[in-house]
Amino acid sequence: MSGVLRVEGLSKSYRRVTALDSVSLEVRQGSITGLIGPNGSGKSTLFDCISGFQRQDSCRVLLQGEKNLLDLSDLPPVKVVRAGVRRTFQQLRVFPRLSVLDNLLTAAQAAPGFSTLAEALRWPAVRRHESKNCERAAQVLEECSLSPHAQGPASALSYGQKKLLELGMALMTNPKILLLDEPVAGVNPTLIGNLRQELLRMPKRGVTLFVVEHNLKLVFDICDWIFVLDRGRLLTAGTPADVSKDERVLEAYLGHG
Amino acid sequence: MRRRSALLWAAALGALLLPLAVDSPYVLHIAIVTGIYIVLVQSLNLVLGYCGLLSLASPAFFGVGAYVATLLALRQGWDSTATLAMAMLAGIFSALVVGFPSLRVSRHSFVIVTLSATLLLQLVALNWEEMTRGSLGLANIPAPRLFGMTVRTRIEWYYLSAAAAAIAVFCTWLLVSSRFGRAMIATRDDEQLALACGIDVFRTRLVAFCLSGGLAAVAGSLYAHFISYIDPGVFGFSVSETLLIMVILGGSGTLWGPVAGAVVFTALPEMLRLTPEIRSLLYGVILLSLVLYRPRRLFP
Amino acid sequence: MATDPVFLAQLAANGFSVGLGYALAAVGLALIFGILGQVNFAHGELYMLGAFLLFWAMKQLGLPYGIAAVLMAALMAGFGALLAHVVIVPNLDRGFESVVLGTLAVGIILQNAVRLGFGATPLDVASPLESQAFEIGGVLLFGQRMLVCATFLAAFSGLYAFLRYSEIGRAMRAMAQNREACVMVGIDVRRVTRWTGALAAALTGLAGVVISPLFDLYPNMGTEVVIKSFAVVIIGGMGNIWGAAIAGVALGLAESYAGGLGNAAIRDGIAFIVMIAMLLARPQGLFGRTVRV
Repeated sequence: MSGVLRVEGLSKSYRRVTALDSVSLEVRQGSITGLIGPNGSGKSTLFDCISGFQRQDSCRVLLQGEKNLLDLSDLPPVKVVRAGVRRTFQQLRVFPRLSVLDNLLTAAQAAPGFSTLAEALRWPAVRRHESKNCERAAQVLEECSLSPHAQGPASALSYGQKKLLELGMALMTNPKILLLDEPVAGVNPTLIGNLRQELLRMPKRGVTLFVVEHNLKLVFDICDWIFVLDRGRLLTAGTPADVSKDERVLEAYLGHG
Repeated sequence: MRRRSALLWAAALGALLLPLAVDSPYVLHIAIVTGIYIVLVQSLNLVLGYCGLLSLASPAFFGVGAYVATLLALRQGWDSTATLAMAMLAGIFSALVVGFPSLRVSRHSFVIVTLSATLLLQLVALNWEEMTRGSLGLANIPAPRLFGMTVRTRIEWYYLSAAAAAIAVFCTWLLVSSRFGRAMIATRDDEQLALACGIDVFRTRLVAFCLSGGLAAVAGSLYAHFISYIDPGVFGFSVSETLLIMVILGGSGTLWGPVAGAVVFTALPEMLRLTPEIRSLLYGVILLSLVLYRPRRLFP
Repeated sequence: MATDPVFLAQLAANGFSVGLGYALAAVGLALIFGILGQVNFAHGELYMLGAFLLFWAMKQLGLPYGIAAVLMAALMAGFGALLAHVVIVPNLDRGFESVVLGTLAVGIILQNAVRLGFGATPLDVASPLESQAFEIGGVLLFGQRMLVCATFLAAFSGLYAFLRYSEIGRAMRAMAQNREACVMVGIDVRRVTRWTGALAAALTGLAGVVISPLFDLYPNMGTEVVIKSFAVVIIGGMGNIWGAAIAGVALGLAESYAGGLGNAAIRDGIAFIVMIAMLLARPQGLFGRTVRV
């Protein structure tokens, strides 16, 4: 397996506080990779920097493209998404007033950039693109069993359904890698089971997962490889079996967790 | 849904037949002004209603359109089709100048810069006397000639204004129901999520703002030709306030709400024969009570 | 032709005194933005109201300039507290647009109320220093302008001491940093908001009192002040009081030289052009957004 995303020497500090201190890591193609660490260890900051939501101080973020490596460092979020890196947020986020279907279509807005005139006049190219997206959306709706709610507003969905919609939205553009920020936070056990099934199916769809999660049971269960962050530094990395035996990890969690 | 479209058809038919039913020049005058206001209201609706951005630059683009069309018609003797097109381009360009630096930064700086632009342009119109004749204003603006037809009588004007209003509403509909419209609403409802979906928030807002500027400038040039006299008062801030009331009370972020707002709030002050001061005062009070008691209505 | 050193010095003196006036006029706006994170769109009308209250106190009540000014500052503080209580306090947790629209509405109401009360014809207030002038090395210094400078010094040092040493001032600085934390440590956020409004309005009114004798009074006189104040606040860093002072002086000097060496049309546009340039080059302003003492 080859690496799909490589981060080299990522540092980020706010004024005098160092949030991340030259973190380097590599996420392998088709894997489910976990990122754990106590609160404030810099997990979300790392995601923000990779996805372009925050500027890092010094770093290279490289994505394995079709043929060559793409340098994502210093790209704005829009370009990062177009390159194939999609993210979700710690808090559940959907567009509450758009219909479920429109949520999915909006999520597929990234590529390609039509001119506004073409979009307003619905030129053939735009229509073809839209109908392709509609088909894809129908498929995603089916997979997430949201088809009956397609025309209703997203705000009418239950919490669990919104979680599924959020995942569905992330899948609309066929991303190469999906950065999930606490996908099961605040979710009841039954639903965690459903989401777990969904997550496990991702690599088969060609989507690599990079997951920040506090539910360690789930992380050790689904991940192939785990990175541990502590106070802005990479503490260790390894298979779930290795990491769960590492005393430093336990110490980090208990020490200042 | 069906009742609403029946209502719309009835309103359209009524608007079409109005000059046949009423021959009071006063009523027609109000109707023509209403048509121009509908164009303006949609221009603000695009930005405020669909992008959730508070813009106070409507009078700026309205005034730019009015002055550009007037100067080209008076000084260069251009045909109205051309002056209208130039006015629109000028509106789009001014919106670009105002929007490009301010939209990149924050919504705070956007409001501040839009207001400053309006106030600055009024000063320029007042002080650049060689060009604008300052507070004396520019008079005898010729009747517009569109595609070889001169619009002179009130009835002709009525249909021109109604057509402009209809086109403005149609263009707004084309835009907001398209892929681009979804992007606008997405940036309004959740900027972060829109970014994560790969929507270029800055570009979306800037394009919407520029289109809104173009629309307002068209309204301004129509107004100048209709009244046939303009002075720096066209940049007046009271236009902004009236528009905000029309859009917000009508229902910002809906297609027909602001149109209804434009009809009601052009006709009502005329019917009540309010002086401009009293009208502005009342609008101020309405706006303040909306902010205090119905904050949810302000932004969709 | 414009290389005469006395002329250049005169331009500098004019620009400096005008600039301190801009800083004085803008500090209220910077204060509300810095501490409350809100933009006060009734700012120009507060300035206008200060000038008209002065006119009313002097003409109707027959008070001398100095006493009228003090009375006016007190009235303005009360009005500012009321404005903050009615418009800002209920909207602290809503989007900032609510406060923008609310203060905008208050501005419109004030402007039209004054127009109905005083009419639209320009009025004039007389100040005892208006006709005074003295000369240093060929450079003319005008009495009222000097009063503006003195008021600036007094107001800014007073503000410094207030923010630095008073209990409310400390609470204001805390609120500028983190409002949620203020709530948690038991600071009465509403009270601080009212105080901020009072302080800002009093300072803005004071600016109206010392600057307005130089110009005519008319109901939308706040317009020009508001453009300059917005420019000063954006250039100096939104909410940065000392940034506003420096940006005000810089703007005054730039305008003075542009007016003296170029032409008047350029002078009007400078504030806007510099503001746009600043947004493009350094969006956080020269000094960033902080209320620091």
